[in-house]
Amino acid sequence: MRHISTTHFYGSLSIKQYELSNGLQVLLLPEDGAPVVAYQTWFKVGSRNEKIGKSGIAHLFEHLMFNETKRLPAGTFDRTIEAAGGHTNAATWVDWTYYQNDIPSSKLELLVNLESQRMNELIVKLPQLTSEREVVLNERRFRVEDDIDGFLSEKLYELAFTTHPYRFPTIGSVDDICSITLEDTDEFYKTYYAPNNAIIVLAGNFSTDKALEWIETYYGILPSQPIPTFHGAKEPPQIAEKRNRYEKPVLSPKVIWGYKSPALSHPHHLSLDMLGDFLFGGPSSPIYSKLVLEKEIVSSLHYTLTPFADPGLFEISATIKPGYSIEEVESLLRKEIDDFKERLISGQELDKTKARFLTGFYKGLRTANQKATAIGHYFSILGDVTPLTQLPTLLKEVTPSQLQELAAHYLNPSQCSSVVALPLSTKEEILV
Amino acid sequence: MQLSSCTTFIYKGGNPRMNTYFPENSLSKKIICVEDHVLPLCRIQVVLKAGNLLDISFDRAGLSSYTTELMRRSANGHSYIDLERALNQIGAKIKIFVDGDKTIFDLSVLKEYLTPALSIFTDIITKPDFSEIESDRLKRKWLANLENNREDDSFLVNRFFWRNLYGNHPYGFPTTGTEESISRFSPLHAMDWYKNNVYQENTLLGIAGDLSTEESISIYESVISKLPKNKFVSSEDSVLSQKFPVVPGCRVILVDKPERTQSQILVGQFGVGFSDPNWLPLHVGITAFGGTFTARLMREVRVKRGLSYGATAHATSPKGQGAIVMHAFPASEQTGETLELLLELHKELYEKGLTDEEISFAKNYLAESHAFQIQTAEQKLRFKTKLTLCGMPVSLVEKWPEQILALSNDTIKHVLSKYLSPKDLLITIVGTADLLQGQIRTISTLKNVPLKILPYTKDE
Repeated sequence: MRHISTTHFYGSLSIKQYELSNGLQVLLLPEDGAPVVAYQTWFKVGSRNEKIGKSGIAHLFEHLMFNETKRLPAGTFDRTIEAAGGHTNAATWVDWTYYQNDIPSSKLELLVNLESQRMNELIVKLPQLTSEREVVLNERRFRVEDDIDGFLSEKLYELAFTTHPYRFPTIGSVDDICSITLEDTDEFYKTYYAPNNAIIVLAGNFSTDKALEWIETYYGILPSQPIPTFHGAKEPPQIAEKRNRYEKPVLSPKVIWGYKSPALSHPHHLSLDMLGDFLFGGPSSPIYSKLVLEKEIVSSLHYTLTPFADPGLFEISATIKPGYSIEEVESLLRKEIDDFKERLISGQELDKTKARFLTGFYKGLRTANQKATAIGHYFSILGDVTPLTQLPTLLKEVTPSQLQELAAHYLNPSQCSSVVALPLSTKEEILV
Repeated sequence: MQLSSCTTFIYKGGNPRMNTYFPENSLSKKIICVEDHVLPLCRIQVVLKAGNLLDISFDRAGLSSYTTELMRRSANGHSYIDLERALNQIGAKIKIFVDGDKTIFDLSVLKEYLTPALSIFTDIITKPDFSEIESDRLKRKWLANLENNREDDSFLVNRFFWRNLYGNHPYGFPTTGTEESISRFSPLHAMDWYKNNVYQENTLLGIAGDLSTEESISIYESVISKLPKNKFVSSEDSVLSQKFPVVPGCRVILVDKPERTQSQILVGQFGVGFSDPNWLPLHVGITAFGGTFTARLMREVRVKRGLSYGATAHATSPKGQGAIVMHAFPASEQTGETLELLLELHKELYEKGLTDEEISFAKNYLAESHAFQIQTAEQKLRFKTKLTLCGMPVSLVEKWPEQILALSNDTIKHVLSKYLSPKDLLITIVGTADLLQGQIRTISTLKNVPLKILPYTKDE
């Protein structure tokens, strides 16, 4: 086990990075606190790595990881974690899949043992694949088909991206989910579930020496394997606005605008996130205030900036109030954005965004699980935690003129794709 | 106000960063303080021992929330935008939480901005303006929110289930009202509510984070002590003590929403309140049945049959009478099959109970996982507040695992058989009626039960 670095986080806490000879990365954040740990395994594989016609395999495979291994009968993994007073779960997104466990500190060795087995000794049989496929189809109904926000989000990415795999939904299409075979899942496991494609993140109350000893014991024997280089097509620049609309059983029109945005690694990413918060982040944000409180033409208005490995989207979503059209709302939104591009805000105005970000930063680090998740996300995408640990410093350096430049650079109609859900009885004109 | 003495209590199990103080004076029942100085975050809560139990009739549903939200929106001559700008400038947030038993005014802020945040917080609680303009805006916002929320099937099934379970008891009323009730509210109603319910004896101060005991007392003096004093009259007692007789027979409420590919199902009945000695054994028993991923319910519904992404059961824990509820969300065409399975499992639980292995597993799980329920200062505060409001000793926070492990398997089995009532269940389903009616009627135990179909766009 080789010690790579120690990075100060906050207060007396530091993140220690190690590497095993088989390439497994280990990040430890020990602290005195409640007698619990968060143990997470991040695999650098997500829906971006899927083959055409097999969308959803990364997520379906995540479901299959909770079954049997060579030494664990089916259902034993979950039961053993719960018997120890722990919780286990997982998530898949475009760039990663991660497996999280929260467990009392006294059970850490047990967990390391179990998790190492899943990485190398998983067994998947047809009945499990069949059952989990049904579960995933139900999950899709829950998150997409019967959820208007999930439906619109899927349609937005389908529209905004023409060649990059981000255009495919992480949960997969129904046809693709139904086409996945045992051979597919076996190949997927062997290709991507290897120590040299994984990062272990451990946060909480534990002994560093013991943790390293156990990780070395249980993972050290696992062989590394060649991991395919990502060959997903680069998305070409967008040169014109794109729009789609759908009629759905909704009571009010809903819309998402998605502007092409930089990757998490890009120097603009943090500032663009702060721009979003400044404009849309709450009742005193200028565009929120104008559209929601003053004009009352939308009943909800949110923004989000994707934290992806490759360029993603800066999304603005709104629910339109009865009596107003998408065109009116969009026109006012764009006017407000254009006004911002012309008017340089003061340092004091920007300070409120900085204060909100700082508060949000600390709020996101209260539990062991939150700490581990933040560390895992940054490291799996960037291979580096300093953009996280340095956040309080970095955000202080952002200036009003930077936000203005970013608005001019990124928030242009030619960079925008939008999707609209209209109530079934609407006779609104289609925007072109 | 000085401390005559104070007790420092360290969480058993070695969490030395977190100290809980119980001042040995009249404030001991008025302040709960859980210190944690690792992060520079402060959480301050003024807890009113009054929630939407005070919305005494359905046409007043949401009045408690309306009043407290209106307090939030204008105070000491400042409008909502003024207050928001001031809070945002320092990264602070003030939120209001209302449930059946309590109302919480919640302030979260970085330590360095505590003073200005506290000033705004104090104004909101002690000098609300009850502005007509803000009232109109709030009502319009709520009506729009209600419409938006009706897009959410989980929201709908809960709304209709609780309303039909509790009937005309406020526990079943929607916390943020209905289209009809919201339209009727005025600042005069809010002022009346405020006068009757916001006074010193009816409040509790909760502190968590980067604050000391001395600071807590100072906050009490600057916020709570500014409220009027009043002889505490529990206006909730008669409502809280109300017990609900079992409504004989099963009932089905079908909330009709078009183009659903999936249904949301809640099946439930009455249970007991949090301070009832039977609550904890009931909680353990229901956890064994459906409270974890490997429990019987999830195993049968999801793992074996793939019928639903999730299948859970839990016992609610209000001050008054609680409920026992099962939840699943299958594909529309599998709704009948899933519902029939839920009813069979419930009946089997009643008739045959749990195995000793299941009970022991649940006890151990709840005892061992308790550390996660009180991992942070805020979580600990939440638990202590709940205990205090229910008149239970706060020492139970640390003794909770012992209490669980001390329960005998026979006690748990007995409580389950006492309270479960498979012939008298309320079933609420959100889905597309045309697809579901026939499926429901094929279930033998539901062939002749009353089935009411309601539109998802309106409350009854």
